[in-house]
Amino acid sequence: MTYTFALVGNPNSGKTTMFNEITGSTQYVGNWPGVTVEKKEGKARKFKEDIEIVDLPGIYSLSPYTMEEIIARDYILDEKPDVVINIVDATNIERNLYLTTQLIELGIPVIVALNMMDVIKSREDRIDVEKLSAFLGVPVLEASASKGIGIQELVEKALEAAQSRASANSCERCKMLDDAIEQSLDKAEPFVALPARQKGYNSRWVALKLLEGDEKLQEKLKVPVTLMEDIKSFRKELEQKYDNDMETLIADNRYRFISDVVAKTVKKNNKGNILTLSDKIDKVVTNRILAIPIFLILMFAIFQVSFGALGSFTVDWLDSFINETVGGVIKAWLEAGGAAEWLRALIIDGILAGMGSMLVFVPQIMIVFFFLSLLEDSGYMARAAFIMDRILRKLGLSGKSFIPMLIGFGCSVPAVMAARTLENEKDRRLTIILTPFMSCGARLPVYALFAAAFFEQNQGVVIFSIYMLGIVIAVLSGILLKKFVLKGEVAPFVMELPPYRFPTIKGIYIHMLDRSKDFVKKAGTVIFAAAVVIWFLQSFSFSLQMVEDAGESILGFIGKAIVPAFAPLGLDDWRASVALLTGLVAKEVVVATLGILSGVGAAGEDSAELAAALQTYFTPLKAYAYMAFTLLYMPCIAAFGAIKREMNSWKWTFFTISYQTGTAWFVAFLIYQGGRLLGLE
Amino acid sequence: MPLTMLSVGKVAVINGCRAKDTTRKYLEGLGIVPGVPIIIISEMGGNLIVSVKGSRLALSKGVAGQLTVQV
Repeated sequence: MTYTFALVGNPNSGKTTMFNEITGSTQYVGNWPGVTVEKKEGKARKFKEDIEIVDLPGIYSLSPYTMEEIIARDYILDEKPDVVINIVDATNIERNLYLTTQLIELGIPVIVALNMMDVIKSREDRIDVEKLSAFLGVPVLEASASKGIGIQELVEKALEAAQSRASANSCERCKMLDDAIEQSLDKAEPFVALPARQKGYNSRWVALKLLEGDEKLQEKLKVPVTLMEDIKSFRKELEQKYDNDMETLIADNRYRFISDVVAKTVKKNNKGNILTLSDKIDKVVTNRILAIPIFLILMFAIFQVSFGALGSFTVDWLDSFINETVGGVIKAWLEAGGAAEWLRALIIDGILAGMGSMLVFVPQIMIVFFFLSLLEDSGYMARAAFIMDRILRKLGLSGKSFIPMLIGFGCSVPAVMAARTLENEKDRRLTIILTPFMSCGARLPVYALFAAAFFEQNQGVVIFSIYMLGIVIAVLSGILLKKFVLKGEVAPFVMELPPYRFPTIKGIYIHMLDRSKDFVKKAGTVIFAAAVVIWFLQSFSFSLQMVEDAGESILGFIGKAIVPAFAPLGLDDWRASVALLTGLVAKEVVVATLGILSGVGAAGEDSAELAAALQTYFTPLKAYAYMAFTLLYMPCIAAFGAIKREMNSWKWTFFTISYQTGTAWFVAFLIYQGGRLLGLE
Repeated sequence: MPLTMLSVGKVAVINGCRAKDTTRKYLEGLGIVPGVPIIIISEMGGNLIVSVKGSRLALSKGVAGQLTVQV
């Protein structure tokens, strides 16, 4: 027998920690169909029964206004999990119970897990769990997910409820609403019984929702217009009686019920409005003078560690490990085995080089995710978003866009993935489109090469100007896209600030591993295919003969064919355009390709030979336009894969890369043609 | 008066919300409903951190301006 339990709770209620505790390493992450909200599933460990656990998005209420709320509600209504486990943050019980009341109204088996009871106990507060359970009409269990307490009991209780569905089905729904509203529900219920039964919904809940004017449900049930007229008359009656609109009325009723229950079951040790430790930290961290400096110092430190010494050390080390150690072994092995030349080339130059160029970033990505988890789990992330919101709002972005942008300077892949923290879909899409304009680490070798070859005196200034160009283009694009494409107000900034907490090592570990695994698995498949394809294109001619001179390969042919498109940018040599094409595998491949095509071999960015060769078909102006193009055009395949996954739409993925490549062309065009008008060369 | 006029540390009671439906519903879920006490914990260029029902919420200036409170 298979059972499905759904975890539902407020954001920051410890739901994810609970999920990790229950499922351990059995979990896997996907997306909810059609949307970019993460869907996590796993199996309950330590149970012989087959128990599937689904982690629903963190929500504050079941009213269908945000994407997360709609997903959670539709899942509960239509997929009908056997039991809903409602995670309630006991330290914030009054607010958390609002969702609980709505879950109970659904008329499905609900079990309340009072999480963070360890904190309640250490504060010497008291919660009468039995009484609470009696008031709510559902089982209530104490737990502490971060300490691993009460998890087993919770799942056992849920299993019990699932196996005896009838008894758990909160027989007598507790009366939460005023008598007048309950009476209206009594009258309305028979009217909606038929459409409700067809979908298998609780008819009293349907009556309540329709009375509230829930249009989503109305559509879903295809309620006849005549029936709605009757319901509207009940509604009008109530609104007149209370002189208030129905939604506010019901919300007010729920909160009154909760206040009443909390007053009778919770005893707080601390009286009055003493500032908590979190508040004291916030007084400093979000202080109007100190906030920005503290924020900048933290970001700088993270940036330094991830992309500075430690990060580049891991990249360099892994690079030599893959290409020299592993590559050497495979090469020797292939030679000893007498493999055909094409096979050797495919494995070494194609697969190993291509996969290697992505795999070298794995430790760095893990470092980035480590810090991200640290920021998120400690509670600082929410503050950072709050601090940056005012500035970013002017650009049509939300404060939550900042973190992805910052990571973008290291690598676009984790940056694009970090955009997940933006719950508003438009804001998230805009962030994903703009993030690759932040110049990633892989583009630096290209600038270094050209700056050394053409701007020997001002290398630093030139490279810095390219970085700045990326930021300026992102700002302008943000304003432009917000105005014409991703229209609409930036979501009003309302965000819960969880209390500061010491992150648990386990939580961070799972978080970090989860996302890195995801990256390797999914980006790896794309990279693998792309590496093989590009290798094939640059090694074979149309007659499928292996060629020595890449100029005669299919890629060379394509390069020559697309030269006219690049000519207005001053890039009239086919080698320059081919290098841009191969740069799609990874941007630093541009350097290697230029080396091979210029006849100096796979040279590094500091090769004087290559610099001399480049001077024969580039001018300083052309070189600058080329750098600008490299900065702005579509990011590498790994980032493309990440964009596709996060956008969860081919349409938006293609829009993104077209916009980026179009911008690159236009900006390089302006630089080259503008430069020529100014008499530059 | 609008919430933006309330000084830091003073307790007031929410008495209205002029935000559009979706925002209002979202705020309701967070505990911002008429009759609930609210305290401003800190203020940064018009954006606020408030305490409502024991939790801390960050509100942008725009949202804060749509909430009315009574001291």
